[in-house]
Amino acid sequence: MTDRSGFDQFVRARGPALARTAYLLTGDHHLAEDLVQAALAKAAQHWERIETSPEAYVRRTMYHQNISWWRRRRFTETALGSYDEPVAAADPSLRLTLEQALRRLTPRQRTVLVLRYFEDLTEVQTAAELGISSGAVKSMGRQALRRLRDLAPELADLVGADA
Amino acid sequence: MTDLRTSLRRVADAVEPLPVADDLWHRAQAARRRGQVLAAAAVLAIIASVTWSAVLLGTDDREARTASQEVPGGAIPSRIEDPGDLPATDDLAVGRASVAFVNRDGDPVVLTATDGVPHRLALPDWDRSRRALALTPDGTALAYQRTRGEDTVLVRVDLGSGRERVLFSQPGDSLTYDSLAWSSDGTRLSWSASTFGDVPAVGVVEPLLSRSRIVALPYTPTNAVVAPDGTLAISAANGALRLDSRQGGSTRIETQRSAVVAGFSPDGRYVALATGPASASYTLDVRRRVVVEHPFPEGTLGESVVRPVGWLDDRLQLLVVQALDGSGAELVVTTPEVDDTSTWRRSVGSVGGPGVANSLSVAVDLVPDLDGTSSQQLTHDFGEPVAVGQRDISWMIGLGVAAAIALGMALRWLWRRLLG
Repeated sequence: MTDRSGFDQFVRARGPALARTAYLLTGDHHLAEDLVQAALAKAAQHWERIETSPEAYVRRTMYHQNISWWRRRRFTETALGSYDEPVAAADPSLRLTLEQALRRLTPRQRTVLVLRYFEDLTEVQTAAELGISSGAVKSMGRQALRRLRDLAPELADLVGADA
Repeated sequence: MTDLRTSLRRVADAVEPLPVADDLWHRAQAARRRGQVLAAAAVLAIIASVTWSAVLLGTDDREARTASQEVPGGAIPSRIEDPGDLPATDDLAVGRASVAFVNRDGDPVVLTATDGVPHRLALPDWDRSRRALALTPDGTALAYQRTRGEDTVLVRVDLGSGRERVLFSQPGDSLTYDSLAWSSDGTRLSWSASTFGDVPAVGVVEPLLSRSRIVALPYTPTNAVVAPDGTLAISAANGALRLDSRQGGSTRIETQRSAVVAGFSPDGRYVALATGPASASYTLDVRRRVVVEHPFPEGTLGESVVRPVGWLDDRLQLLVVQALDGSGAELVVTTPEVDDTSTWRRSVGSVGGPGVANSLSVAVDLVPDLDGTSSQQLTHDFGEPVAVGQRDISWMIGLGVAAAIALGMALRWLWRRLLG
């Protein structure tokens, strides 16, 4: 199997799964597409070195890339304070779904939730993936769930069940 | 109600497959190759700059400056210029010199023969008001005067070893040597003094034989030169020329033009003459007792001041010619007069500034024998003068460029990393 065919095979087999994770990480289809493309491009550059376990490399690249992009964009993002106000439940059109609420977390908080509750990693594994301490993972996860509850009180049961 | 884990899966499962660009692999491989090329270039740049630095830092400035410009045996520089401010060196063992002159500050400067590097010499007791100095025709030694206590002393400095030797010492600081000149074979040093005690005088010192001869004069000399056989030629302030043989005979030679004796030819037949504005060079024919001339070829130099600085052989003399039109001074090789085998060759080299031209002393033995072709280089271009003690910043510029490249590449890497 050549490098190119191996890479194509990997993309075909694992592309949809990577896309799902990317969407949860970014909360946006376009950003998710960019994130997957960027991670796959890096994987292609180093394919000889990673072809035995490319998915771990691509996923880790996505996690870090997403946070890195956020760092670059953070100065243009709306202040978090405005997100913290709960939306009035009386207006059904403004009710936040889980998907919308996730978008209002910071990428770090979102990434921790995705790794913990979507990828089913332990706190130690999450910390290793992100290169931070287990305590930081625990703290960020707690903050993320609290924010979800604040942003969408109707999701309290959902979030509370795992908090 | 489902838990968060299930809800996340539900959200993710609703995502449609994302397109992946068909040329992603090719773009990634191209980027990889670019990165490899840049990395290789960076490594080469770093290796080159480190190697270059190591080589340059491991040698002194002089060696670095002249590594590719040294002339085995030495040569006369094609450009003889005052290098300006230089730190003075008290290590007089600078090596064989090609030229010596007094700079604008009144200090002695020599250019070393093999590399053309200028050295401002901190000669002991050098008196800026007594500027006479003379380089031997072979460039190995320098004669100058200094005052030691109450004595005026003529000193010979060996530029190879830096050792000094007193040639002549005369009590009394009222003595001032106005000029010093070596014979063409370097065995005799002649001098002239406007005040030697109560009278003017000229003299000859023979360092090898530790002998000296003094001739008191009833007139003020402008210069005195000595032939290898010991004959003195003296020019007077009134314009007259005299020949004074070792046997004591003195002959006055009438001339139509005011001239200063500048040097005997090796065979003693001619005495080159320094003259005021003219369109020719003049030479005293000792045998015929007449002054002969070699006019400048038509269309070359106009009215110029001529100062002979040595003889290349029995018939070729080296002149410093300063045109009155302000075009600067240049070295000219010529014969005493025009005949079937005469030579006149200009632009052999340039001399920067009248101060340098008026005090210039040249190691004429370093001029190669003429091969008869006009393309022959009689002097050597050593490049821009960089003196010992001055910082040669070329390597710093190189390192700076390498550092800038490395910094640029680091910033590029950082930028790409931040931008993903």
